[in-house]
Amino acid sequence: MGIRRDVPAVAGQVTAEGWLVSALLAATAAVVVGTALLVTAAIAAGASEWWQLPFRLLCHGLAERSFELGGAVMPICARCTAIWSGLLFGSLTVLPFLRRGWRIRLDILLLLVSPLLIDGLTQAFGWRESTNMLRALTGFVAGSSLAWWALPEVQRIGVENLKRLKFETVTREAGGP
Amino acid sequence: LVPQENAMTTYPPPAGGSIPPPPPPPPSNTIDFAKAFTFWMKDPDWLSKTIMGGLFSLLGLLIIGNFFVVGYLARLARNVAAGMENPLPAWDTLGEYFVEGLKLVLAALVYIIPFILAVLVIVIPAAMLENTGAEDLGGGLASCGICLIVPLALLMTIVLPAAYTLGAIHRSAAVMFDFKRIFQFIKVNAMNYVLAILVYLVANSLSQVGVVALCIGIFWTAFISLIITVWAFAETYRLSPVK
Repeated sequence: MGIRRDVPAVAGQVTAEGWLVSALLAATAAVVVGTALLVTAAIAAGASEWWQLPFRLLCHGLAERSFELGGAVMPICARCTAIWSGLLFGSLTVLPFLRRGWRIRLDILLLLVSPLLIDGLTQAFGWRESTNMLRALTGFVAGSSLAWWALPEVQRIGVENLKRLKFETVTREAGGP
Repeated sequence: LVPQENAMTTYPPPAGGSIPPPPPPPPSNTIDFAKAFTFWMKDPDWLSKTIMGGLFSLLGLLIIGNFFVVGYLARLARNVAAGMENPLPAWDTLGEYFVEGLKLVLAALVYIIPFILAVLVIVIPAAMLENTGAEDLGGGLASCGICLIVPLALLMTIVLPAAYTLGAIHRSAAVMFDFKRIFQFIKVNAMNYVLAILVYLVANSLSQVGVVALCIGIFWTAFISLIITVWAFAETYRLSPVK
């Protein structure tokens, strides 16, 4: 039989899992948004539009649904730009959530993502046409809230693992199985 | 006139008591095509697990996220092979997922070596020959290349899922190169294996909806299509008479 002692609190501590996945998400979003901006700037400066081609794997990049910068159209649409920016913003501002053990509930996440789904799907079905501002707003909210839900979830998993590890260590030291 | 209820005739039960219930149908040895597409939604936490899966797929843009996903799918394959009712694993042991995924991906990369060799030895020299004026020789060499690459691609499409399944279930990347075992697995379960490939093709086609709808949705639909595919191949293993 294992002896369960009080496990030291891990509040205020960001676990390795929390750090790793937050950093990875921030890096991925930064790479996407950063290269999209870089390519737009390069095209505005006279580079070939072929540079937009790799982004077709991520997004349709329709000109009428994308932002323009310096006279050049961005290679990803306004919605994608906003979602990726939201993910970047969310992963950079999630630290207080992780430290204090806050997390938004799954139903709240669904509520915050639903404007994006309604906006995107009503447009996909041809019922209405959205605007870039609406795409950007709903996308940014969805991206940020996804990061604020997922990263604390990863942190929770990390805390659980840490507690299990400590429990196992305590059990071993006490001569348990 | 006789009232309706009185008109109904009831027959006494046969001698020896009540009628025994019919025997349960024998378990099917064919994978359930419909269950492959619905099993994951029966998990009580399917939504959070798939949202998390999509997020890790998204991290696959920087390659590293793919290792977590492959490790997760390996655990899913083991759960299905063990006959668990809700086989979708939790995203709990990220370190284990990463290490196992890394091993399986590296093993799968070895499978790609023949392609790389074919491109280096045949396709690139063929293109160079065509550019230097030796068009007949270059064209001939390119045809040879196609004759080699197409069968190799077909062979890989057939062999790699079995190799992944066996490697994941036996928790060993070395099993992915036990070709005798792999071919025996395919041969013994030929019918289910073809069905599993069909499940993969359908799931993969459906996953393209993600990009049509909301671009970034492709990461989630692709993850779900992977879950469905892994279920089909692991179920083939579960039903296999030879393990």
